[in-house]
Amino acid sequence: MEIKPEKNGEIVVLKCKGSLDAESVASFKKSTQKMVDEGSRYFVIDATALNFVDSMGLGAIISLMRRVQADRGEIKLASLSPDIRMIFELTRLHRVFDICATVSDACKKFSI
Amino acid sequence: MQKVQHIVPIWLEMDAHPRHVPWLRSFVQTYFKGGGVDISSRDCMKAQLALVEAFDNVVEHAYPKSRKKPVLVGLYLKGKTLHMEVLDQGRGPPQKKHKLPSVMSDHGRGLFLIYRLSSRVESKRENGWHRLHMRIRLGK
Repeated sequence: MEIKPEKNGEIVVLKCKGSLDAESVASFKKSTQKMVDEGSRYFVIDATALNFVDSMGLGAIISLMRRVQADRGEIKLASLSPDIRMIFELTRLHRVFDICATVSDACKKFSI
Repeated sequence: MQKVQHIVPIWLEMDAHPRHVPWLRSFVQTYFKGGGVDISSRDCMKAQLALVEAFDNVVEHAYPKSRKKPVLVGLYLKGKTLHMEVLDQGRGPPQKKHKLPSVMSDHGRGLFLIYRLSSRVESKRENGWHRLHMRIRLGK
């Protein structure tokens, strides 16, 4: 999996490409932890090029959410394909995350 | 998808290492393509996810201290039902652990997904192996 962070003011857009699964979850956690430690609190996960996520990947996103919420930050998801959205719906996480149609929509919704 | 399909069973043996996850996903896709079965991306995703979750469970719970122990994975299609079996030498998942955890929990969704994606799941131990047998109804 490739994670390409892009700064948009205080917001970090994480462009995720490939699969967020048992194999890649450690690198996702490591790189996002570093960004949180450096002070980032507002994240958009851009899932345009994300083609798979398993329960371990979901756990990593929840873990990131808990960390940023502890610092009064926010996390939003954007551009989920119908198949990826299905996984969030099956696990009812679509009720927990703010899922936006586009990255641009997500960036506009932060209460910064 | 065509009305009735049968593809011969294929069994794989691998070690319990998460590096196999991407390969397992592409194997599911290749299995259908190789058998000439045209399935929807949704069905393919369901099959891939259920199989990956079963494999993840082996890696995390059956063999938490070793990546070298064996895992057997079998796939076969009978009619419109995809059968997927995952065998390991662990004790198998605890009963009643397939409920959805609290929404903010960062683990515990694997078995829930397996049961949610499958029309039937059997979990049993025989001859020193734990066998998880998932059936996924395609085209539903």
